Amino acid sequence: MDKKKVLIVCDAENLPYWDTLSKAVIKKIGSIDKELYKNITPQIIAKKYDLIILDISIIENLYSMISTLHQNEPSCRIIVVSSVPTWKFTREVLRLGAADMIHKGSDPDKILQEL
Amino acid sequence: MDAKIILMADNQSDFLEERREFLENAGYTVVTTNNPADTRNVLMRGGVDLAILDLRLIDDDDQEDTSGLELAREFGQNLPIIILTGYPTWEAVKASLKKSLNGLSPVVDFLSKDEGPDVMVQAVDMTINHPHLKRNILQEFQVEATQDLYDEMKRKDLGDTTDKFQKSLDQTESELQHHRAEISRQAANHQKTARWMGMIGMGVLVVGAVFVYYNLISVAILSGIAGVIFEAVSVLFFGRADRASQKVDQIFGELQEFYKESQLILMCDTIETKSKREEAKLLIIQRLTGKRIG
Repeated sequence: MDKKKVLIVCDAENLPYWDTLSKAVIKKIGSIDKELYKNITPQIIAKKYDLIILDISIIENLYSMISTLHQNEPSCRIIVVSSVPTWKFTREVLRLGAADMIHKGSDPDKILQEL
Repeated sequence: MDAKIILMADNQSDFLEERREFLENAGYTVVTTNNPADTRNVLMRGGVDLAILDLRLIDDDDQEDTSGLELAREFGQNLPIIILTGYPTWEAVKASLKKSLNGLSPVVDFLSKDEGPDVMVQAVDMTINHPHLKRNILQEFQVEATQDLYDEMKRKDLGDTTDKFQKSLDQTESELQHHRAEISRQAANHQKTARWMGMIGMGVLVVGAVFVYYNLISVAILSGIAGVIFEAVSVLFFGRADRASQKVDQIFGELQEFYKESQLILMCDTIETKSKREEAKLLIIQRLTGKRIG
């Protein structure tokens, strides 16, 4: 698998999960940057990432993030991760331009497969 | 203009007939099927402008039944398909709307039956009648998928890319203008009908009052009922006029957006340095394409 540049954007409470997962699984994909949503700046968004993983609890922030990322870099793949995906939430996320939605409770190998 | 043809497939006949009426009232011709085989035959025959498919076309109680989605995967490249289901799940939404490698998803929209008939009609209107910048851009650049579009834009000379993009904007703007004029005419007609119905209804009620004065009670009652029916029809047409006016406002808003976007590109010509001018134009086109196309 070609190495990809990956950005994970999450809330503070989700950071430990991504620290664990990135050590165990996502390193197989490529290089990983992790940022808290509240620390996201236009300079970070301007970097060219192949894959952006969003794990943001507040829905309005998530929707705004997807729109902004999608407009700035339309060819970048955006994947949303949620622990409680509803059908309406999934629909809205995909309508806004995310490439995929993954359930957080999935087995880590399955998550890698999806990514 | 000939009415657009919608194929609606659902294994519940009552639901099918109820929703058919809403689509026909919205001006569409509707063909219905209630099983996968007949649906496939209609889709293969062609001549349909859009299909609304139930997710579980065989058995509503079978969670594994995704026969509607299977048909969408088979025919979704050839015409727009909407999934309409009474059993929405996030997995079904993901399977329906997730884009494959060519940048397209099997369906254009995913709706729940609980969202009601108005949402369904609105989704059909937006897909089938609404001028699409995305379609115009893909046609102008002569590509079929969004991923090919970005590759094509990178390959082309900037002047050529700007011209094509501007042409797509102009084309869509013109279609939107035409669409807005059409909807405005419909709104005006609905209002006219509503006013006439209202006036007739009032007249009949007044006549009914006269009958009451002359003690012709049974005739007065009939008059009263007729008057109420006319008034109800008037309210219905006022409602339609209202919805059409809202659509006109929405289209006007979109036209404003297109105008601003065109101006943004034109303003780049005021940048003195050629390289900066080209860089600015390319950046704007890429962002607008991403925003409009996805």
